[in-house]
Amino acid sequence: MTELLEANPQLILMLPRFDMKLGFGEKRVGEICQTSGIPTQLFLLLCNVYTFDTYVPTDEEIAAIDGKILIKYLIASHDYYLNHRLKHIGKHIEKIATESGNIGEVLINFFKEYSNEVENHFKQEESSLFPILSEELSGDYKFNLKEIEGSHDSIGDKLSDLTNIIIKYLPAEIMPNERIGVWFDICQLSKDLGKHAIIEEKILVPYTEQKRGGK
Amino acid sequence: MMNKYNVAILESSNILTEGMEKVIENGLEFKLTKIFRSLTNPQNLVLSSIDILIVNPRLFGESQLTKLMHDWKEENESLNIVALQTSYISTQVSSLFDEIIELDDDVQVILSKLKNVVCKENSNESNENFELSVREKDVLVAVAKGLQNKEIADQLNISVYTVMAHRKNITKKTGIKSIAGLTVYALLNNLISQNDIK
Repeated sequence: MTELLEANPQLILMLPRFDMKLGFGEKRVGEICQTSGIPTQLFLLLCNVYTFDTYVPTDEEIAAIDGKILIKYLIASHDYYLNHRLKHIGKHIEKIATESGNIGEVLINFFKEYSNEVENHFKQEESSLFPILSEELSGDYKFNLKEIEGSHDSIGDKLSDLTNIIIKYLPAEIMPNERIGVWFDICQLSKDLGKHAIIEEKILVPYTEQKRGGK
Repeated sequence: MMNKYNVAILESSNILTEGMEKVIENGLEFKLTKIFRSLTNPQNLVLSSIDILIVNPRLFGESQLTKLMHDWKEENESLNIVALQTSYISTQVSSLFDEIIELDDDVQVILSKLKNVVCKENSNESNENFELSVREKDVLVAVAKGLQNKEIADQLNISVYTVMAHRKNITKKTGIKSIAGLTVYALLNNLISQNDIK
């Protein structure tokens, strides 16, 4: 496991989402997966998604996934984004806003609007897309992939706008160090959310379609 | 940041369009947004948000194709046009295109050709002007105030397509895509005041 994390430090974010504890010593990936009840294949598949930009699993790999575990992972990711990352970034934005005079309010509103959009998007996924699987893929409900993709694009666009505003367009004298710090936070979140969208669009959706098609 | 490039195909054959659709689906940075199957009025394609147009050159004669490509690029300056070659084409015709996809190209080869096309476009931008023009500022202010394209077109006495072209250029120059982001940009640059948006 240590070697894996050294190869791509980003992967450490996966551990809490799979409820894997730190302090694993010299244990190997397979052992840790076994103790946590996570299929090693699924764990490695996600490692590949986070590490290689062009990686897309094959239909056979997708068919072998445990959908319920994947959904638990995605819900845990949503919780991490909303209750940890966005709160953290929000605090920094507020700090920058207090030094930004009358533009501060606009900045805070922009971020609030963004956070609300993310929260609504997650809620919508959790209430419409995810239950299709937990209800053993029953019912006639059809999710709209275009809508999900559109929502992901819009969330990505706004986050990229925020980085542009913070680095390129806020006046130079406003809290440069704070802005550089939050810029890193946003880039990290943006990268993570991008991969999260790929997991949903390129793995969860095809998986759902496979299972429904097979019925 | 995952910004997908919009790809459109102009091709009457179902086999070819469905095949290309599968190939493009494999590329994470591309999205097939439009398939134009009808060959009537090819000069009137709506290309405003398209980054790459894939065309089969066999569908048109050389002079018609030259004229069409001129019109398309006029409507969308940053459009890249890629040939989907299914039969022999002359060097004059092939030189019109930014890139040529051949029928026996592998998926990976096709995707890397498409990628090269959009990368070339990006590298050309380095010597472009990033200042907004007066007209672009007019459009930006209207967008920031929450007006729809149609309303902006009426107000500035220009067509909706021109409004869309201006908006695309504004985004290209500022890097800002969302309306909320453009509003913040307009405020920061004193193009509008806070009272305008309340």
